[in-house]
Amino acid sequence: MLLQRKALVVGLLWIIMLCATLRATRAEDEAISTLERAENVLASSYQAVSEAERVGANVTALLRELNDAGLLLDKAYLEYRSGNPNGSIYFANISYAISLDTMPKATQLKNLTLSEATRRFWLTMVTSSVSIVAVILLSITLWRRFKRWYQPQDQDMIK
Amino acid sequence: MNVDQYRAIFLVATLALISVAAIPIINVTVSFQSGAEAFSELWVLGPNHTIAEYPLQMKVGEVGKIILGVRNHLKYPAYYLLKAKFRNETQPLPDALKSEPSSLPSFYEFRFFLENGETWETWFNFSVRDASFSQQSCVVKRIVVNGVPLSVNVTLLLNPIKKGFYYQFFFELWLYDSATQSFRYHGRFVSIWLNLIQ
Repeated sequence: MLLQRKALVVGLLWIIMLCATLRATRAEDEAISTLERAENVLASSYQAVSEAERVGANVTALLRELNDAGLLLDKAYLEYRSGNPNGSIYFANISYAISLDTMPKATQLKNLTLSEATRRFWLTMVTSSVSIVAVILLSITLWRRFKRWYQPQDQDMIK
Repeated sequence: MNVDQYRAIFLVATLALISVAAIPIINVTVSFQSGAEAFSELWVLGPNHTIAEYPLQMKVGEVGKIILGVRNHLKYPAYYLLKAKFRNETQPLPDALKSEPSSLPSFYEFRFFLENGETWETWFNFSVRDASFSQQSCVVKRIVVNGVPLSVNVTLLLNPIKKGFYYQFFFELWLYDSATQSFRYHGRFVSIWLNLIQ
């Protein structure tokens, strides 16, 4: 009877320890996957911001947002290293949310800058081309008038 | 002056005016890039922004303060990763010739984004929290960086010439490479030597 009770207690303790270990492992696994997800989205957001900058967009505000996300990701890694997977998940999730929010903003800014640049490009091309044609026409007109005015004087001098 | 000379003057004046009118077209179609070198600056300074007041000798529990800084001259917004590592006198440093990082793991990391010409600086406050000394060696188990306790477990051997337990913090600069979609070592590191006393 006593032996059975002892076996029962040991068995229960073993089950409790197993559950605690499984829970800790699950929290750790979740922390790792959350950190990876946050890291990947931060990198993707940076690429989106870089593309926007390449077409000439002002990305100062977006980089500030990414810096906030990066700082939170650093904190998440520190929490993980300090043995606090739940704290790590918390910070990684906030970082992920900020990065995820920045990505469409970067794409929108890139498209806006591109359309603005295209509009400015055509406006410049048309204005400059019109100016060049105007200069040529004005020069021809002025030359003809000058020639007409100048030739009688020339003939008078010959006479 | 005869008509031909006047024609030449008219032609030159017209060409000059056409050139002026074409400047905006040249501006939007041709890009002029400067040939200046693209690089990143990395520095470690003492608490007063000088190189004269580094903490060089510290007791267990005493807090040392240094400033880390990076400046972007790459001509594009860069995503940096600064890895803080801890070593004794025999563990490997980054290979400056091969431009390879140290194989030691980092205990602290800083992620940040910088526009071209922008500067980033941060405090790095550190202390050795848990260390056990013997005559010939000392084991550093735990350090605290910016208020966060971290395990390191590094054994420092007594330096027979300098008569001290020397350890080093070094900081590797990594750069995010959009082509490979990963960080690569940027070939730059800074370090600071410290003598741990009981």
